[in-house]
Amino acid sequence: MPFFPNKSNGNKGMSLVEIILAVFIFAVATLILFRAFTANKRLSVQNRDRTAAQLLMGNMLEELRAHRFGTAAPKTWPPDQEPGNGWESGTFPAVQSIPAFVEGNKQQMLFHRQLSYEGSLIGKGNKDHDVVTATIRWKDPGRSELQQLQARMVVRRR
Amino acid sequence: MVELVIYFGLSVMVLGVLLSVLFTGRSNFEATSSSYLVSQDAEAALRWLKSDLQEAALGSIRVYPNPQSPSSPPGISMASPRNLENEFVVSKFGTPLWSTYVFYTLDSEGKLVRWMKENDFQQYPEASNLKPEDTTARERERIVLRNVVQPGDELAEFGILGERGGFDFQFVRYSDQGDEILTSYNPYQVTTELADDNLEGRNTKLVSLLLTVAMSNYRERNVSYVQLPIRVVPRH
Repeated sequence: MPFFPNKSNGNKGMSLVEIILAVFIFAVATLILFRAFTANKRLSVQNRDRTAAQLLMGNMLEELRAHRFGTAAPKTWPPDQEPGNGWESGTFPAVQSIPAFVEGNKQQMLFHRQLSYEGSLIGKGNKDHDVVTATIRWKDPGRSELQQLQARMVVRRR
Repeated sequence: MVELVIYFGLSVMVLGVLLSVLFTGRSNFEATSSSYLVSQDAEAALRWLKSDLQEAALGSIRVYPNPQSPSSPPGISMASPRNLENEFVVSKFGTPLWSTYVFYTLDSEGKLVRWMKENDFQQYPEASNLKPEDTTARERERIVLRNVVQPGDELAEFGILGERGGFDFQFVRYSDQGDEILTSYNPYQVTTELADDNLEGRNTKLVSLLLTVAMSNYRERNVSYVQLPIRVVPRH
């Protein structure tokens, strides 16, 4: 079964078997390229999201530092609630997004925020200190479980 | 005929693979670009900004433009205990010895410039009266971030950016109900210079910065940018 036979010099052209072999080699090479692309993309997104999560964690700790011990919690503080199914559709302050567009396309950067404390910090207890746990969670490409960044600290009445 | 169908099928398959490579490559480029936006230049600039703001005196932070200098480029100034050699100077009592003003000014090319000006503070770290556009006053000038979005530029989802552009610095106050109020007046100005009618609520030590950074081609058709929220408590 010749392909593009050249009758003038007697060449038979490429056979179907050769074509299939060439396509197979091309497919293997492409697969390797795909894997490299996918790995690079995953690492880039992981790196970006971890940096953003650290930024948001820093912000949350600064907000705690600014808080006057024993006064009501600002509405910008996230609730003490673990992320459930479909947490990505939640709104601020439980879910914070960092807007990013690349070449006009939106990049999804969503973070679930959680803040837990015993209560004195916001006036519900009578102790002069409180143990606060701040947690940031986000979805990592290629992993089913959420990634997590957590900080725990003792806040004292000053 | 059968051969033609087989060859056609193979061609379609090869074309499909090529297109997949193209789309995967594009998606890969987008992920890498957004990662670059967040974690390369911006991260280094944020370290400078956070460090300067944490060491600054809250009452000395001034936001530009403001009613006294409406034509100034976006930026901030603050009293700093860092001298021109960037050493943290303390008094004999161990308290910060205010010796310079640190400015962050967004120039017309989207460069965020950090510069200093030595100052003889009389006891208290008061806000600077220098104009950020006065380039002759600048000492130790350095570019900390490029491609910050300019005032008046339009971005998807945000529309046209206001007078502070991609360097939107504000002070955080809370209403009695816990709602956040952002203002460009620092707590000292609120309590001494302004009637409080329009700024009902209580001061906090918290400051907020929304930094919008674009890729170098952001003025062209396809926009690439990220908006990073930063919160800092000046320690003094």
